[in-house]
Amino acid sequence: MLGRLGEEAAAAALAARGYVIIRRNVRSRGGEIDLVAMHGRDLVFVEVKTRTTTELGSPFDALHPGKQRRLIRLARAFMHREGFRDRPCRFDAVGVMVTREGDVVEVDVLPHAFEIDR
Amino acid sequence: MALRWIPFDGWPSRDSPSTDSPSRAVSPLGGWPTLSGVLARVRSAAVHGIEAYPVDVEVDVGRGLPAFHIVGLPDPAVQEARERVRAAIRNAGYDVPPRRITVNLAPADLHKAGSSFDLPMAVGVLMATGQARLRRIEETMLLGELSLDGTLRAVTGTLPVALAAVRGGMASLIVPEPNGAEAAVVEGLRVHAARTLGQVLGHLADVDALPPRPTPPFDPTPGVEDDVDFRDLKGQLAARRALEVAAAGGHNLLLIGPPGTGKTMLARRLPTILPPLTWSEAIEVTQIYSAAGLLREPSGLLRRRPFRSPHHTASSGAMVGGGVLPRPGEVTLAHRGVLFLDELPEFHRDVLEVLRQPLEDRVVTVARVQSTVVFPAAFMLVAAMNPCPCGYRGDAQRECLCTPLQLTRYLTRISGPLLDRIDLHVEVPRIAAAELTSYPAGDSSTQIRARVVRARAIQRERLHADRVHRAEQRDRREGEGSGAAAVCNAELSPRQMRRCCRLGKEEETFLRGAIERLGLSARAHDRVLRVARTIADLEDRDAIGAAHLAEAIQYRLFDRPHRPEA
Repeated sequence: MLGRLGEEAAAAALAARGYVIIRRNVRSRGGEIDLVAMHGRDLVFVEVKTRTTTELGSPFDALHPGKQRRLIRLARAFMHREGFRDRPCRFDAVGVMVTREGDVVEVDVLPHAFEIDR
Repeated sequence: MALRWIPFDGWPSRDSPSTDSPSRAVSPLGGWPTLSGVLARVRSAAVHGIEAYPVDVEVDVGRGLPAFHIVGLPDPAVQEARERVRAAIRNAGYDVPPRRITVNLAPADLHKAGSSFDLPMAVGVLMATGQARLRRIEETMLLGELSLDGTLRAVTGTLPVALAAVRGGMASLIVPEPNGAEAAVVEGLRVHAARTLGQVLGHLADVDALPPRPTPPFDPTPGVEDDVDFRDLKGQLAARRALEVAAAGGHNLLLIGPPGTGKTMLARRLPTILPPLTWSEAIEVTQIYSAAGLLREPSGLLRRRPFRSPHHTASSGAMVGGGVLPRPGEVTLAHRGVLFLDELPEFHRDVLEVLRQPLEDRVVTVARVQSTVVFPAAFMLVAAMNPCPCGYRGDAQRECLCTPLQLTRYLTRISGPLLDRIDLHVEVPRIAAAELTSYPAGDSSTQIRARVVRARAIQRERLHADRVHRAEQRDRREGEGSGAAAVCNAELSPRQMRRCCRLGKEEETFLRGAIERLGLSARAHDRVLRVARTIADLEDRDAIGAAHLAEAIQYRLFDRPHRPEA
């Protein structure tokens, strides 16, 4: 439920920055892509991470290399399925901080958060 | 952070990829470049051994998932350039867009090492992503390590790269500021030294040119301040004389004496009486030290003759060089200088064995699976040893406690072939303390060097005349050594000796008689002759006389029969 709240907040923040959300919660066997959007000419895959204020650490800590690799795989599959083969794309992350009561405190948009690592 | 756009030049045609003009950049009108296959090519170089070869840093920006890959057999330091280049570009006010960026270091089948590709990579990325349009990039070579903030840091091997740039027809070379003096030594190249990535970009865009570094004039007789001098030595007149003879003719030298008699002091002062390095010799030495990463910056041309003194536990690899990416060994670091082997019998037999090739050919060949590198190794060998294991054989005051077996074992540790290459054997005896103060101070290094330089000039003239004479007679032959032509008496081939060291009948009889009487080997004949030629040259005498021969014979200590033959 906290996750759903975070995704809503993220979607709103992205829209405000000119992103056009084209898909949400793209599920496949390997996992899920939170948001897919267009930003300018780029196809953007967005991973949303929500944390409560009482938890320690940044929301982005959960975006470790294993998770990144999984998202890259999912993105590839998505692009192949949907015919986006040659479109320039990137991976953004949005970190959302909420209170226990459900009030959004901060939304941190990080464009080009990661890319393919060797 | 504002992005700087440089005025648009027109889209390159996809049908005719412009590989010949990588300076035609694509400029975005809004958003990132969407054409795939934008290629930038920046010229750089890599060092292999002590020479540099050209490396093209190609940067391709394509579609596909964002990545930054470096290919071309990069070692970990080159791989890590990714982070340095990224941060430097950002901190210089530009961007690394989320694109599939591929950097290829061509030729792709040679291992690349080091951090000197940072700068060409950053420039290439900026060109390929349309953020910079740079003029004349094909005739400019770039080199440098990047700090995260975009500052340029010094790299090793700048001089070999500068020489390669000239060979490759480059018009200019851009290096980090601390390497400027080193690169400027080379003529025929415009050398620019920069402090930051921003400066390099401004220069290449013709917006804010860096001034070229002038080549400093070469002073053939520099006043090099040595911290040691022949004047420091007390007594040991015979040994000092022997060193002068050795220096004058380029002869290898063996010092024999008990511990603590100043053998090391003598050896250390030999470079101070050798002739000053010529310009090409200085370039060679500086090039070697640059490739080995031993130059202290900022450094111009090295002017002092090298002095290397490896410990007797050094390995063969340390001695001749090696490693996966071949690095110069002691014999190469001593090139044009002195290699001092103290405690010669303590060196491992195998290690002394590898010295044979450089002593013979004045080069050393290091073969690896991937390549063979030939390093220069024209050095003067000075070796020191005790007369026996306990050190007191022949001592006036103390008795030698060695058994004949111990003595034999000790003396036979020096191989015959190595001794063959040493022309002078000198005794360095113990001097009583009282005598030390009574000896007058000897000549200074400057005075001795002047005599050495004159003697060497005589040898050069003689050898030059001999070569001209031979060329006239079309007298070519193979076995005269694979190294460079002889420049001093020590390097005379047997045939050259027959022409340059002729003896009168009396002198020849004298020499043969002495050899027989003293029981010297037949090989001693030629060695004595070479040294006698040098002694005569020191006196500016054209003919070799009996006195010269007599002195030269004195230097065959080790050949005498009381030394057990190996």
